[in-house]
Amino acid sequence: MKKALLLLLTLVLLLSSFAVLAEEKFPNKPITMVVQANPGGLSDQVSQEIAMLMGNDLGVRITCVYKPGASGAVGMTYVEASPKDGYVIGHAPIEYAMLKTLGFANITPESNTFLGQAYTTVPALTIKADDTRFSNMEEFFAYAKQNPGGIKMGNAGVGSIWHLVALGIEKAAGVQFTHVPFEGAAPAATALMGGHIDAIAIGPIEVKAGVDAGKLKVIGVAADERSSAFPDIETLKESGIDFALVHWGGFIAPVGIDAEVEKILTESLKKAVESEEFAKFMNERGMDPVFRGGEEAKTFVQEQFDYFAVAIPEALGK
Amino acid sequence: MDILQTMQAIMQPSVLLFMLVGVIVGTLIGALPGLSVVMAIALFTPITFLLEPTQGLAMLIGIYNAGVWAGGISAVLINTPGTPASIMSTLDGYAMTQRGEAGLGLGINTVYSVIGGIFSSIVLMFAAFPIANFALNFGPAEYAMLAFFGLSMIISVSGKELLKGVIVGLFGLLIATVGTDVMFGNARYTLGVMELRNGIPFIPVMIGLFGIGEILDQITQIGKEEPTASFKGKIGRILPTGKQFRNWLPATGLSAVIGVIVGAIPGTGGDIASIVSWDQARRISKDKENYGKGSPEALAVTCLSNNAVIGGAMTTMMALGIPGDGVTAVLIGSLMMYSVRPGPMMFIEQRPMVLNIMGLMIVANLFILLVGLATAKSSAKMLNRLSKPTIWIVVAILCLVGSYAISNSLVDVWIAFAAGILGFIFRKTNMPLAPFVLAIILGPMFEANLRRTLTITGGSYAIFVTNPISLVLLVLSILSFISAIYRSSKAKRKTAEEAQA
Repeated sequence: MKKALLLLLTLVLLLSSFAVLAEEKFPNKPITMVVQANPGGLSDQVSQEIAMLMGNDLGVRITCVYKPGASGAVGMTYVEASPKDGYVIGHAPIEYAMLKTLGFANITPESNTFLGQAYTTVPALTIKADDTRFSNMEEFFAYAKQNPGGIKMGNAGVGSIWHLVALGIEKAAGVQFTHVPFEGAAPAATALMGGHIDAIAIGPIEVKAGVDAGKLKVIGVAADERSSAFPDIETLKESGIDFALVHWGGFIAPVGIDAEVEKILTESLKKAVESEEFAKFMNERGMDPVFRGGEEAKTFVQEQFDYFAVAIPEALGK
Repeated sequence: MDILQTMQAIMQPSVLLFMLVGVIVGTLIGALPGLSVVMAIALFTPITFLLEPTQGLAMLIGIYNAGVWAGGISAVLINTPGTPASIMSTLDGYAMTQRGEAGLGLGINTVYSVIGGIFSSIVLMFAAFPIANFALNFGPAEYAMLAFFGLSMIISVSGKELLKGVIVGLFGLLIATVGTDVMFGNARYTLGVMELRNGIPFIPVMIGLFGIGEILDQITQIGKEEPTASFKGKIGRILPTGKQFRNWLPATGLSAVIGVIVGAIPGTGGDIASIVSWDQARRISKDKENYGKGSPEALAVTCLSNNAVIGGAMTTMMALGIPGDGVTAVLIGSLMMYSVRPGPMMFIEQRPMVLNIMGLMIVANLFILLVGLATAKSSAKMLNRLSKPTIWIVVAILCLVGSYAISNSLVDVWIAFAAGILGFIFRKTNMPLAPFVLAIILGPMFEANLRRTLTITGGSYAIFVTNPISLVLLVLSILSFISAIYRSSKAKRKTAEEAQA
């Protein structure tokens, strides 16, 4: 009798421990968020915000670690080589689709599992507020046509997305700029505020302080639709310049994570991106929350990758 | 009325407590080579969101000010700058420690850092907009000349070893070319290593050159050196005398002004401010000959100017919304999390917040004064008590951990190792280290801005003469070259005469 009881007890214990195992669903420990840039920039701010929102949703802590270098290639490659358990995810902005063509690292859409897109940033064509030569898009492009090479157009570095935007605008408008690369978007915006260059087309967050200070003026956005952050600013297309190239960002995990884990992460990302809090966060920074997940997102990344594989060599004359 | 409100907002026990936490964290991070102030602030920013804005900012401002100050502690005690801003403090600070004046070195570091911090906060309070708008005048042409001016110092920091200094400086410039070409985007000398795409990172080089190099050098001197009696002796005074303070006024005053202005210029920081101040103060100093050989005045100059940078950097950040360096970039993010947008509107719409930040800067420096003077004697004593091998091991561990922590990359650790061996070779062959460091800091800045300027002007160099600021900097650089050559030929004549006599 006693033996039977003991056996029964053991069985119950065993079964219940199996049940616990089965119930111990993903995630049950802290998740690491790899930020591909230095602390303080846009990548850091977005990653922290998403880490907080997803962490609250999943009930675990998501901590950011920084792996900057080679325009983000270091961080994204680090995610690629991380354990495939879903406890390492990373921020992947548009450079994810550009780095291979730029020759920085062998990163393709297949290198990581793309969990989903989270936001877009429209390029804001910006000039000095007190420029006497032009104060709107029409005058700007008229001046550019009359003075080939006369407009000094700053960008965030050779081969950066804002460089490609400037080159794209140039081509679509049939004008010629003098391109001046800076080490990042903020120094380019600062140089424009100081009047050392004539125009830039970079993310609104970089120019917002200058606009508030009355030193800079946004005259157009290079997007298909107006940005919710600047409903009054017309698109280049409205002025007859057929060009749009929007900066975007999303989140990645290593290839080979469990389909169930991927689904949990993507669902949580979707909730975070579609939350009111994120909308407010994005709006304050002049960006738009945009969610794309699953196959749709993967197709989108592949399309972007293919676009840059042609656009970058063409733009850099390589 | 404003001031009363600010006092009320700051002088709360909870705010002061978080300030103290920030100062302690900043002290530890700043004193440990490689652990950067930027990283500390980034790590603590999420915590501050749980706090009231004033409490959170108290902590972050505490970390910022204390970090820059504490970088000088390791510069003085172990010849390894805790942060790049303290790079020049190693020159005179460590020489003082070797003379047995570590206590005075730490005291000067504390007192003058605090003066720099408070001076720059007051400037920020009264002249934020004029200074920030002046900083905007710095475009590519001005940056290029500022870097050129800094590079001209290779000669004055070389001392008697002029030729060796120039060789080391040129070697530094060569190392500085590694990375992505700024104008064409091609990889230069990266050997296919992805991590080298952004160039050879400066902080691991600095850690290796000063920290690891110094250890290797000391190890090979075991048994050779005579026991230095003064080193093991009493600590002595930690505060400069009133007479010293008065004598140093011209040099330190100049360095305070340079610190604030350089700090306000986006993209330049404590390292460049202390390089420029050290050289300019030397020119007007009565104690010229001892600069670089353990002059307490020179230490005061560098400590003051790298902390005066903080107020300058905060000025540009708050008045124009421009992040001048890594720390202010993170601070902008933190302010935005509190829905405060730095920029001119902040001074109108969020005036109490601006005043609170200025007040917190001053209080943070008073905390540093207390912590610094209270610990100066004991830190110096502790260094005396530890055996040399113990110090070597601790410093070596800190160097390796620190170089990894910069961007969590092993490549940086290898760079620190390589720089350590290089530093060892430099020491054994009497090559001065400072020109190498100058070249690595200023080389990329000079190259990028020179080429950027020429892109803008279509290849014309005239802009360097027609822009007033770049003209002034160009003239100063040329004067610096001429006076160095004049001094060196005078010194040669003197030694020749002495040899004859």
